[in-house]
Amino acid sequence: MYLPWANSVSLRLVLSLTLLCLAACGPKVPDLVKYASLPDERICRIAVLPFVNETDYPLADTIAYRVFMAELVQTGRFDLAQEGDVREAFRHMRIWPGQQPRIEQIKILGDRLRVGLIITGTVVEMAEVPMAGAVNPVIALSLRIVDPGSGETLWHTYHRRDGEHYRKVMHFGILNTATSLADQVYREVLDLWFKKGLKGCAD
Amino acid sequence: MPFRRGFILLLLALLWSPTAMAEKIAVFPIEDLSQGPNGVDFALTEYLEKDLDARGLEVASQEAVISFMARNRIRWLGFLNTYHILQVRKELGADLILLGTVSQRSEEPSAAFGMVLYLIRTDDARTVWSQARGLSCNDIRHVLGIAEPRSAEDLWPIAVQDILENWPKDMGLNRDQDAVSEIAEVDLGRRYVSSGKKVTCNLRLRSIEEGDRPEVTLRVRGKGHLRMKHKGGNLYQASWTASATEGSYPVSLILYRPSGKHKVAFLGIYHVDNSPPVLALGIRGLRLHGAVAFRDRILIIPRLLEQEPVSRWGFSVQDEQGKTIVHERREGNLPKCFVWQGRTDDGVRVDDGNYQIVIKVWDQAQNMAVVSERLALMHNPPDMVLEAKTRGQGLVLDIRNKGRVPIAFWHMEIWDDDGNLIKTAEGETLPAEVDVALPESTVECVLTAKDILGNQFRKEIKDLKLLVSQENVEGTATEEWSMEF
Repeated sequence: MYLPWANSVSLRLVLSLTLLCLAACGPKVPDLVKYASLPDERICRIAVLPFVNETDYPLADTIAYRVFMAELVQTGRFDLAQEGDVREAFRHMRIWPGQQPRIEQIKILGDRLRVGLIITGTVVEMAEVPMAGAVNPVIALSLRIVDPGSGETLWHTYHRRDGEHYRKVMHFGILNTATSLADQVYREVLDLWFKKGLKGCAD
Repeated sequence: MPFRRGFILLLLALLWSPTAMAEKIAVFPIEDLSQGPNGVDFALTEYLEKDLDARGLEVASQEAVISFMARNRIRWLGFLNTYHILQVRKELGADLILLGTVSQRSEEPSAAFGMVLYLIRTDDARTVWSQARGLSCNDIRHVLGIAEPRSAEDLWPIAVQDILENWPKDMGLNRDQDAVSEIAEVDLGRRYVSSGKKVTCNLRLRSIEEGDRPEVTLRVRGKGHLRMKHKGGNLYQASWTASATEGSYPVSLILYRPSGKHKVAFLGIYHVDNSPPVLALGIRGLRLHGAVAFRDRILIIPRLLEQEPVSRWGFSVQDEQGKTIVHERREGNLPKCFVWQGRTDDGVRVDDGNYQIVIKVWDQAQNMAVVSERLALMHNPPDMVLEAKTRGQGLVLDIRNKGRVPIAFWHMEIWDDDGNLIKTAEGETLPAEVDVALPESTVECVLTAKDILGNQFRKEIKDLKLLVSQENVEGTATEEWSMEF
């Protein structure tokens, strides 16, 4: 039986859903700037230095650091220097919390921790914006891959996302916590890095 | 045979026991960042222990873990260093360590909970598994809202179960262990030294097994290999004199094991520096007669022409007799500027005259640089001379500046006794002459002037005729003047 109104409603529904999907499918690739090439050989062991917190969010640096470490371990491609070893080396070299090491100190850290690459990070933004009985988490991060041999930055990535960015249809897809958003953001950053040529031990 | 039967029974018991071959895990207290730095969640720790026990793992008791932390002075949660990880294996017999952090926990506006768990293999101190999970009540919606979580207390067991669902099957235990020799403390002393000075390196190694004490040697550029002296316990020390040549000197540590293996670790760099800092002074003031003149305060900006770290500095002011009237010395970097307000250390204002400021700067190697500058303090008003002469039917007023500081401007007004302004004159240079008609009645003259440093002069002469009758009367500066308009 031919029902013109039904077809019209179905068509509108399909179009609406398509538009919603398109709206949710904005550019998801983090910004990556390559200052120099990564080493040709595969990197087995890396160190992540304590992050710097440039936000008002309490302990945003520690939260972002721990989630990033978890995401790196999950890739299964690297042997990570223990956070305790990194912090102990910082203490020996009198690098205080919130400070980024100098180039000379980066070289010493690389040798002491026996790592092929060093990653540094800054939490540029972390917030949970209240909205209608929920919160919209926001995270902006700046991550650098540093060559411990020269102390120079090889790659720099900036990535900013909020939980609403992942909305698919209705409330589905939204990320409601800073932890899950950070996890997602790091996944995107690491996916991009691997796609662009970062090689771990298992590659 | 009873002995053989007993042995077989024991073997069977071991084979049947579910924990005999189980991996042992030490669950460290879970860090809770929602309570601030080093917050702890014992309830979550206990929950994890029970869950892992139910999964067939042998769990080290919480008392043993806490005791281990106290014994090894571990005052933080959420991470361990390699040495402590290896010690956990040695002291607690654990194959695995579980560390965790509660990254967030909130109730408003919607309850939320987030956590991260790390699993560390103790034989090689490697993190073998990790998971992060964040959950909000908005993430869990059930039909008709039945059994939906409403608080963080409801959420965390769900988050933990989500994470533990991904517990690894194989953690690659019982592989060859790569012994890691750990440096507990290292102190290379000052990073900058001058030639001939003593450089000392103090080193403390982690606990060393008897019979495995290594020979500890330093490799220093230009010095070759230096054997470190054993100072008791795990302490070692070596000293040498800094080379005559300026430059950077890397220091590496070599540990020679009795087994014949050796390990090299880079300790750091020290710099030999024999060159004093190159210092210049920027002084904002007017240069007069070879000195920088000022009235009430002077700004002195020290500038290092070649940037290098400064260890200390000194600032002093000397009077014309060479006596130090201001002296200050501090550790650390040079201030951006010095301001001298023409006072002694006791706050007493000094007289006009010449003074010498001296700034000394020491770099990290204690090389000293000295710069000095002559200053002239001039806070007295301009020394003006006003003379009057008759010329025909009129008067000629001759205005001159006897002082050392040039005049910025001068201004003269002549008033009759009815209060009428009968003449004004002004200018920016001296000497100057002003013609005035010879007054019949009393006339008043007001002369003001300001020098280029800002010192001001004001003189009122009640009757110009008196000036004429006296001829060449000088206006003294001290009678009426003010520092400010």
